[in-house]
Amino acid sequence: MRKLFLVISVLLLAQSAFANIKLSAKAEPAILPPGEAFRLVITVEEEGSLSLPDPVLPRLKNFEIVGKSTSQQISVTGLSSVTVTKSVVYQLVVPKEGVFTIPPVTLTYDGKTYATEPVTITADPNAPVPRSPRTARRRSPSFYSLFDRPPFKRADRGIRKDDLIFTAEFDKNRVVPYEQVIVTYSFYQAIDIWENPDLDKPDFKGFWVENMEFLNGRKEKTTKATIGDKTYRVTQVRFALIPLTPGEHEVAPATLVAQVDPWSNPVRLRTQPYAINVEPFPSADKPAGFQNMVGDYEVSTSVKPDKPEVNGGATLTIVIEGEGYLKPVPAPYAPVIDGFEIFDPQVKDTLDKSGARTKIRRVIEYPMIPRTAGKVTIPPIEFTWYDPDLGEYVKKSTEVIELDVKPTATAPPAPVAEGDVVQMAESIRFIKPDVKKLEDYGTPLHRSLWLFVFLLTPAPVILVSYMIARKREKLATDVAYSRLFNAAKNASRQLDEIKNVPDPKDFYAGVDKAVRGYLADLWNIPAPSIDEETVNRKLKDSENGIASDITALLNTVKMARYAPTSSSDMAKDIEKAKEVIKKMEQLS
Amino acid sequence: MRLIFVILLLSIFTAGTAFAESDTHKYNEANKLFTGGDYLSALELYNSIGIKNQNLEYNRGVAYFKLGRLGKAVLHFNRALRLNPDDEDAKANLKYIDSIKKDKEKKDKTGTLEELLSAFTNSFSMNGLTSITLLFYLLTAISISGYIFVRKTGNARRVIGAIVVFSTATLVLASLTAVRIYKFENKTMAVAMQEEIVARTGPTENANTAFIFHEGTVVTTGETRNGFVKVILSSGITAWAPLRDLEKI
Repeated sequence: MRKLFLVISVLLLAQSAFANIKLSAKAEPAILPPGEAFRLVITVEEEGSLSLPDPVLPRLKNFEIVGKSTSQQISVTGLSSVTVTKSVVYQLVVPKEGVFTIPPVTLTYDGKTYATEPVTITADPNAPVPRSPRTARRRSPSFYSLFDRPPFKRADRGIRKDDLIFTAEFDKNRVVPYEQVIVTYSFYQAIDIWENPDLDKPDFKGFWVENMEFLNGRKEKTTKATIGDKTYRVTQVRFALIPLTPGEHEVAPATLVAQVDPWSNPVRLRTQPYAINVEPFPSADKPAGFQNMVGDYEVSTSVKPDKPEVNGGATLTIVIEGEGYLKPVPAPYAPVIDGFEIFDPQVKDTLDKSGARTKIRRVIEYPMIPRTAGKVTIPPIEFTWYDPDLGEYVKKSTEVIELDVKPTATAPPAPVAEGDVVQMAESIRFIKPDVKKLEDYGTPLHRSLWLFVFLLTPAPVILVSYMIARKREKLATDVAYSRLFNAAKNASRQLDEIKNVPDPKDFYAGVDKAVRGYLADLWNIPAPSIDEETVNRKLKDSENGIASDITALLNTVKMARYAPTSSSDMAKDIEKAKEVIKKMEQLS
Repeated sequence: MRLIFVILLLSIFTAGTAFAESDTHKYNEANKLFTGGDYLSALELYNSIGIKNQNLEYNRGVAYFKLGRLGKAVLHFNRALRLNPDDEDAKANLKYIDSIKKDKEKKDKTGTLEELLSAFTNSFSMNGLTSITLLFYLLTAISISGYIFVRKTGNARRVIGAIVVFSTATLVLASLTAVRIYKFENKTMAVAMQEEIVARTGPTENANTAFIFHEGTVVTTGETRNGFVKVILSSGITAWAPLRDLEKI
């Protein structure tokens, strides 16, 4: 096998210089009723090369392309002749009655251009209906559906390399931005497989992607093809790739995983990476305001109603239709029309992905309100796009529209109903009346931080209430605590009461009572039991000399009660008493 | 220093009042334009008012309707209802639009108790309901504090009664307020703004068409991915729609 391949390769290399290409095109059938599909079979036959380019189909104005398939056959005759036959079959629909001509199909190879003869198609309502190719398609396996499983026969032989083939075919490798490239992934299977294969398509980085459809909106198509002596079931899916920026964009390989039988490992098939060179738009003759529209379009415009009223509604509709892709292209700015107010447009794109390329129908609707009555001319609106087939920029304008704007009609008198009130018309309710002050709803209360502060406030309040209540209870029930709690306060009050007493006797009696009372409350003992010994015993551990201060004060007070002193001494002594109480408070 | 503070306060107050007067003036002027049939100018004036007000939202909805923008009209009537769920005019207008728009929406059936509770809560403004709840919350807290002081006296029973009444009222009102706040904050509803929107089975342009819905249809929205948002119709059908074609209520 390897030797045979080597021989073929050597022969091909030797013969490449003498390549002889035969290009032909025929229609099957050439006479058919309008609206029916026929096959345009283009055959490229060449001796000496395995890599034939695809023939280029001319622009078909009168036909609709609904499908395409490709097959290739290699035949080796003797030892010196290898013939490669490539067939490209387009399914075309001729929509109306008449005789139509398909211009020559061309192919450029090795610097030479080859062309077929023109093909004539007659669409005659009396012609026989061609056999539909749909029957076989319905039985096809699916890339995606697991329910349409083909019948399985266990393979009792090994799988050959050419039993399963997975290819990626790109229709172009040099484009401009926004020009679509169609990639067709084909899975050729010469043997039955256990499970439907999984297609892992690349992420198509740098492209806007549309999954193309075949007849009846199907996302895949199955045909049969013969290569050499093998007949393959071919399942195809197609994608339209729309590059957005110039530069070389590489399409990563796609992978297909097929499980041939339940007992063997799945077979992984990969395509080759493919480089697409996206060239910038030609700068020569590039019109100002070019909006990256690429393709071949027809433009039309209309206004409804054709006789609008002042302050009534009207709609300017622009329809752009043709082969191309406009989704990334913004809608044009609203035209300026005297006497009209024009709003932002509503854009509706309808994409037809069933043909060889995507076709788009973009409907742009501008809501308008006429403000003045009279004749108004809507000027032509110009569109510019780049036609890659022609290789040039194309300009087309819409037609001028004359409108007659009528003044606002006077409302007819309201009908008077007799008997039961009958609602004559239902409509929307009227606006709300004027207001004295338009209130701002502002930030709702539940979003305010203050709400959460407010919600948290009761917790500390309840806690403080609890602490206060406990303290009050303790003061009421615990005498020692109550005396201790009020000792300083009572002493201070008593000292304040006597500080202006003029009589030294009464004064010192008051000081004595306040100091002794304070100490008695502090230690929870009777006031008369406060003497020097008690003070020294209670304060034996204190280090700030407080014991001696207290005893000195008590002695001074005792002496002064019986040997009166001056008023200045009285003031000093009351300060000493306060000082002593202060020190005791610090101590406790 | 004190003078500067007073001047500052006065200027803030006067500026606020001036803005309020300006907005009121614009609103009333827009009403005049609308009554005169100049819907577009009226709408422009309504849209220039930068405050949230239920009447303003309602009037914007009516103006959009008059200009043929069903989606925007539905959006603003719903916004008016968010601010005042009891607005009968907004409800009637939505009902009318529902009768003329392409997609018919299923309405959830509510029970009698739910209707009664809604009628009660809707009779208050959002902040009014929150304030009443806070008042009862405060009364509950005061009662608890009072109980702490009188718990060993003969008044304890009365205070316990007050605590039970106030705390029950607080819980009921808090639940109603929470539901109302949830409805207010839950911005998962959106309105279709394009005449026709294709909802797909996945968040990509390549996914199959799941269904088509039209301008003015209110949908519940879910997660957002890849410029698409998950939409749930009132019938429960779910799919992905382009985020740019919807506007949240």
